[in-house]
Amino acid sequence: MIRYLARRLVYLVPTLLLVAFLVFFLIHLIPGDPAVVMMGPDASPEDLASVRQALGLDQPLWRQFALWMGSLLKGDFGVSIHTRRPVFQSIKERFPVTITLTTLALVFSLLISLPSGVLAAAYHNTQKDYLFMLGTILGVSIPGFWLGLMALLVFSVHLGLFPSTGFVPLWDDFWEGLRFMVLPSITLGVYMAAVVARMTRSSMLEVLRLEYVTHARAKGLSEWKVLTKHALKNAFAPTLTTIGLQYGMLLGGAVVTETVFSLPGLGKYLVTSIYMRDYPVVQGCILFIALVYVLINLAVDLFYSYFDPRVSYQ
Amino acid sequence: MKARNGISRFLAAGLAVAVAVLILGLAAGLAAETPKRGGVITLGLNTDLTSLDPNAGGAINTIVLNHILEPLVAYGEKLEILPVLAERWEMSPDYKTYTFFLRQGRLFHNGREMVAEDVKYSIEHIMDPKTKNTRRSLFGSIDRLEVVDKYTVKFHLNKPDPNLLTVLAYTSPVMAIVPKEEVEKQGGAFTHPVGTGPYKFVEWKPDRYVLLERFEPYKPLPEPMNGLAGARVAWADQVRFVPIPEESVSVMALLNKEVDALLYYPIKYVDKYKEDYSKKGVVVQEITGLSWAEIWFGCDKPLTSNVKFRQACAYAIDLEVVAKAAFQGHAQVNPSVVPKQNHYWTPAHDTWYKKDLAKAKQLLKEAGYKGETIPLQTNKKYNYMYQQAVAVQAELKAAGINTELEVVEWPVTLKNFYKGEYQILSFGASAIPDPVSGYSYLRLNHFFDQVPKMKEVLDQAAQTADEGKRSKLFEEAHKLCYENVPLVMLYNYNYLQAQRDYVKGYKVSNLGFPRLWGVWLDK
Repeated sequence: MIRYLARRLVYLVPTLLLVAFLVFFLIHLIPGDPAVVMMGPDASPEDLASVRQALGLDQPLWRQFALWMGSLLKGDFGVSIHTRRPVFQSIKERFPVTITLTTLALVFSLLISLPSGVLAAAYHNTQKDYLFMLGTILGVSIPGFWLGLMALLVFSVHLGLFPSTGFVPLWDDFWEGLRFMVLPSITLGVYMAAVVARMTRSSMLEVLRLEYVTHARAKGLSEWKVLTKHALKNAFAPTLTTIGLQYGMLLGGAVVTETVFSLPGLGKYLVTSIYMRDYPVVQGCILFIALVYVLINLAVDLFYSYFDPRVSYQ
Repeated sequence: MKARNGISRFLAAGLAVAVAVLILGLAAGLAAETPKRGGVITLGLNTDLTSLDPNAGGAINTIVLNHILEPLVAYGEKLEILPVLAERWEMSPDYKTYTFFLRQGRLFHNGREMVAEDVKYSIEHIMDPKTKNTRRSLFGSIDRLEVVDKYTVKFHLNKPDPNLLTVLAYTSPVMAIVPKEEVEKQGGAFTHPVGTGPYKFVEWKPDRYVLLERFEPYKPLPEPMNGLAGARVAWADQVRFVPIPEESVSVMALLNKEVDALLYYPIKYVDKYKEDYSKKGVVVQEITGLSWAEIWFGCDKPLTSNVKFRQACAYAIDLEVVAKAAFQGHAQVNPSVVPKQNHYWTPAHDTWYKKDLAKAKQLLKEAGYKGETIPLQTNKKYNYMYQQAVAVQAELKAAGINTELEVVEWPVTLKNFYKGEYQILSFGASAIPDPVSGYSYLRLNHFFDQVPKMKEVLDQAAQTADEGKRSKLFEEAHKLCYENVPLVMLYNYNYLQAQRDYVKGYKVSNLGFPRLWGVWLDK
C-alpha cells in the first residue's frame, strides 16, 4: 500500500508538468492582449509596451514558461496582472469557498442518491423505479443556472427562507454560513445526485442478481439487511469511482453556481481571469485544480480496496 | 345668541383641528426629508473590483474610490470643471503655467493635512511610467511641478495646454491627491487606499464586499453637490459595495432588501418594475448618460476604406431602430461624438443621414460594391453591442450590404479596436466628458491618415481654452465625421439605477458614477 501510494505520488509530478505545459501554451494561444485589457484602448503604444515589458510579456514564450516554472518550484504562483495580488493568496482565499460548496453538494447528493438508487433497484420495474428514472433524467437535464434562479425565486424571494446573495464562512459562523450555502449546495448537488443515483441503481441491480444475495434472502435475513449489509457494500465500488470523478469535476464546474449565488469561489475567479487574460491566475488556478483532482482520485483509489477486497495494492 | 356662540365655538374647534393636522403633516413631511445619520448603505455592483489603486483605472474601481479619494478638480453635471481640493486656479495667458490654490484644512484619513507637496507627489506619481497609470499619456504636457508655498502649487508645461483641467478632472482613473507616506508604505500601489474623501477604507473581501466607514473629521465643501464636485456629506455610518454578477439575482437581492440600491437596473425588468416592483418599495431612476455606442469602420481596410461605401452604410442605418433594438427605447439617439448634455453640443451635431435605401444603393454602385460579405465584429460581454450589431446587420441587408456577424471575446474586441483590425465593428465606450478625447479614438481606425484635417481640428481644439472657439471646432469635427463617416454614432444610453424607497437623497448622475454621499436611510 505504501509503495503504491509512493508510486502514485511520483506519477503526480509528470502529470502536473504536462498540465502546466498545456495550460501555459493554450492560454497564450488565445487571442487577446492582457496589456490592452488592463490599460484600455486609450493607452499609448509606449505605455502598452512598458506594461508588456513589466509583465514579462515581451519575452519569448519558452522563456516566459521557464521563468514561470522556476517560480513554481519555489512555491510562487506569480502575481495577478490586474489586481497585483499574489495568485496563491487568492487561491487560498477562494478554494475553501469552492471546497465548502462542493462538499456540501456532495453530502446532499449522497443523502439523496444512495437511498434512492438502492430503493430503485429493490423496486426494479415498478412505478417507484419509473418515478426514480424520471427524477434522475430531470436531474441531469435541468441546467444548473435555471435551477439556481428558480430556487432563489421560490425560497428566497417568495418564501424569504434563504438569502439570495452573499457568503459567510462556515468557520466564522456555522449556522449563518449554512444558511447561505443551502440553496447553492442543492443546486450544485442535483446533477451529481442524479448521476450517482443511476450508478448506484445499476450496480445494485448487478449485485442483487448474484447467488450470494439469493442465499442471504434464503437464510431469512431482512430485506433491509440484504440490501445494505450484503449488496450495497459490493455495489458501492464503481459508485465510489463515479463519486470521485464527479467531485473532481464539481471543483472546476461550480462556476455557474458560484456566479448565480455570488459566491467568492475559485471557479468564478478562474473564468473571470480567462476573460481578462490574467495569465498568472489562469495558470495557477488550473494547476491547483488539477492537483486537487489528482489527489481526490488517489483517495478514491485507496478507498476502493475497502469496498472491493479483490483489489490489491501490492 | 347661544346658538350663534355654539356655532362659533364649533368653527373655532374645527379650525384648530385643521391647523393641527396641517402642522403635523408638515412635520411628518419635513421629517421624511430631513437627513438622518446612521446605518449602512449597501450598493449592489455588477462585478467585483479589480484593484484599490486609483492608477489601475476601471469604472468599477473608480465607483468605490470616488468615496475615498478626491482630485483637484472634477466635472459637474453640465460637464463644467469645478473645484474640489483646489479652491481656485489661474492660467497664464500662454497656457504654459497653471497655479492651483488649495483649500486649507483638508485632512487625509491618516490625520495629516493635505498640502501642496502632496499634489506634487501625486501628479509625479501618476506620471511615473512605473506606476502604470492607464491615462499617463494625458499628462504629456507637464514639464515639472513647483511647490510655491504650503497651499500653492504651480504646473509648468512644456507646451501650451489650455485643457489641462480636463485631464485633472478625468473620471476614470480618478486623478486623486494621495499621501506619499501611505503609498510608499504599501509598495507604490494602494491596497488600502488613503485619501481625503468623506469615507475611509475599512476592508475588501474579494468577490464579497468592500466596506467603507465615515471619516468623522471630513468637512463637506461649501458648494452644493454637483456631479463629482461640491458637498459630499456622509450621512451613513458605513457604505458597502457588494458584487452580484447575475442581474436577475441583483434584482432579487433588492426586493429582499439585502441591498439598498443597485448600480444597474436591468432594462428587461423595466415593465416588471412598473407593474409590480414599484408597489413593493423599489424606485428606479433613469437619466440619459454620456456613455456612447457606435459602429466603427476600418478606414484602411478593403471596402470600408471607401468613403462612398461608408456613406451608403450611413444612409442604410436607422439610428432609432438600432437604439430601440439595443436598449428598448432607453437611449437617446445622437449622431455625434458630443453628447447632448455637453455644453459644447449645438444643433449642428444633429446633422446626419436620414435613412434612404435608394441613395444607399446608388452609393454602393459608385463604390463598386459587388455584394461581398463583410465581417461585422461584435461581442456578447456587453449585450447592447451584440444587439446593436444584429440590428445594424438587418439594416445594412435591406440596402443590399451583406455582413456576417463575427462574435469574439471582449479582450479580442479590445485588441482589434485598439489596432484597427476590423472592417466593421460594433462598440461602445464609457463617458468621455471632453470631446477631444472622444474624437481622438479616430486615430485607431486610421481615419486621421485618411483625413488629416480631422487631427488638425482636434489639435486646435486641444490648444485653445476659448469655449466659443472650441465649440466651433467640434462642429467642424462633426462635419468631417458627417462627410466621411469614419463611424456611425448611434446613441447615448440611459443609466437606470434602482434603490429601495427608504433610501433618500440618492440622485443618479449622468456621469454614471453613483454617489453615496448625500444619501441617508429613512427606515
